[in-house]
Amino acid sequence: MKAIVVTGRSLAQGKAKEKKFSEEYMKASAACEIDPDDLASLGIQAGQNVRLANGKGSVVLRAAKSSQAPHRGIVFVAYGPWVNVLTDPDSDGTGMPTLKGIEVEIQSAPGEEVQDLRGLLGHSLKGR
Amino acid sequence: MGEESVIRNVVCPFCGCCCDDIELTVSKNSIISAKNACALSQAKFGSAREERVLRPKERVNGKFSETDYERAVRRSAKILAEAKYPLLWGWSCTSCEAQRVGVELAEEVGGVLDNTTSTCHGPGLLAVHDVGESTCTLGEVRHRADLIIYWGCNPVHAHPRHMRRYTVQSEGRFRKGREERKMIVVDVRNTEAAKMADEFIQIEPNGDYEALTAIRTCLKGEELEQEVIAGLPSTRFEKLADELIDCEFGVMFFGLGLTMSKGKSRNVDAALSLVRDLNSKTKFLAMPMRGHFNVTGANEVFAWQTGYPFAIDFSQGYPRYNPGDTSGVDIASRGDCDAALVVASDPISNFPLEAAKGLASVPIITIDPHETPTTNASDVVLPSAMVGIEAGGTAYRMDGVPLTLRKIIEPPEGVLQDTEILSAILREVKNLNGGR
Repeated sequence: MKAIVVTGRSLAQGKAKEKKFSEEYMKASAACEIDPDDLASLGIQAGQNVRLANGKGSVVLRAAKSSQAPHRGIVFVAYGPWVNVLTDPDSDGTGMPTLKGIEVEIQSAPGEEVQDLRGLLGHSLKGR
Repeated sequence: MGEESVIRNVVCPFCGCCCDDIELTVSKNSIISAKNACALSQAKFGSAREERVLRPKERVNGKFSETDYERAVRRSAKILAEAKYPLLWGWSCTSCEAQRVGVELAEEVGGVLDNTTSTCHGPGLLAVHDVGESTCTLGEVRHRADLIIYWGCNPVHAHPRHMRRYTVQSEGRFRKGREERKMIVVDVRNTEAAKMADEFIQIEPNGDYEALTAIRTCLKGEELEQEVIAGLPSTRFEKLADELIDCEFGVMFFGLGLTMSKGKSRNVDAALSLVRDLNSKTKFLAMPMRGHFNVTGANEVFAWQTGYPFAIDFSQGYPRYNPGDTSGVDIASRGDCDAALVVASDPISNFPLEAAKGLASVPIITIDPHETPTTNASDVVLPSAMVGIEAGGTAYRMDGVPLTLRKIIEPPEGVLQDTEILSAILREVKNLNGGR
């Protein structure tokens, strides 16, 4: 299913943002809020994992039922390293990467795990 | 500090609201409660001692080992002095006093000085350069505003006390409360703020420029040619234009929904132009919802010292400004910088991964209270006191009002303040540069 990702601050992510290696931060930032009808279209329930992919990368996130529906085709992910796998650094000459309105393909990911922060970045950043 | 003491009128060092009515109860050098604080503020004060870096660290042969400040400062200065194009990034979660030292350091090393404005309201500042900004203080909003628009922001999550202290739920001299104010939210989702609004206008993602331009067209008395604009019937924008004209004192607060979506600076350009147009019919003002507690201060201090608010390039020996070229994410993703100094920020988490990889490929020096993916990717880590909790200083609220941050508790033993660390690095860099 095609979707548009919108990133942003969430209360849970904001509360945990100075505890980056905590379970609380991962729970808040490695999740995506999906419209209930889109969850049904994907054939999944809240709490199951989905894979989001585009030309920049691919990441597994935990699906959550959005409390801000209806917003068919729009997926919210809190700011953080998980969603930044998908964001484009091209700033269109402004300095600002495009962090909202990102086109992705989303599919259910049964059996795939959400990577923790060290796993997610350790691989990408040469083990640092 | 053995017994409990209550410290009143503390400024919160979380978001750009800088709420200055926090009451902290302190005992045995720990904050045990924070009255009047929102959930974000509670978390910041409550978890001040979690995931801290307590000793300077340096990477030797690929592995971290503890060191002391003297050695860490010497190595940091050597990296910066030898670099041809270092990036000095962050600055929005520290004090104006530290930012001021940062400007001198950037000039001394001929680097690029950029703050997190680049990745929040930077496009908005570009729009201000183009069209100007009709704005005011939050006090004026509280006393006078009868129409509040939140466009592309969700204050319930990002600025939880904004509505109660400054806008629709606040009690002002001429506007007494919620019933005397109208609230309109424009967003792509039905957020918690949208649910509290008198009107919610749900536009399509990336539809902001179109929507704002439609309202401007209606204000000029021209007809909208399209039937559907930003996913809504064009008549919706005709009605909205009438509502905006009908207010006595309107304020548009805009968020990253404008700056991060397609159009970026042009979206804010359209918003500020709309507000300018409205002033021919009524009183209308605009203000960005600034995120970090002192990102506004970073813009102020950098602009005083260099003429520019962010993305300042000293590589030619004088300040140059060209966001998109001289901004942090662009420099990191192109692989242009050969070293980085990160102050009170976590770009490895917050940059697009491609840019984070670019940053991680060069020597990084990080000054931060907490362990983060950026400290873990660094070559030198200098722990610092938390500004506004363990160190004092000055911060600018989102409306440009300076406030005094206070030292409430002592930092962990031996941990220095940002200003002390930066000043020490600056002195050492000057020594290496032959005292020039």
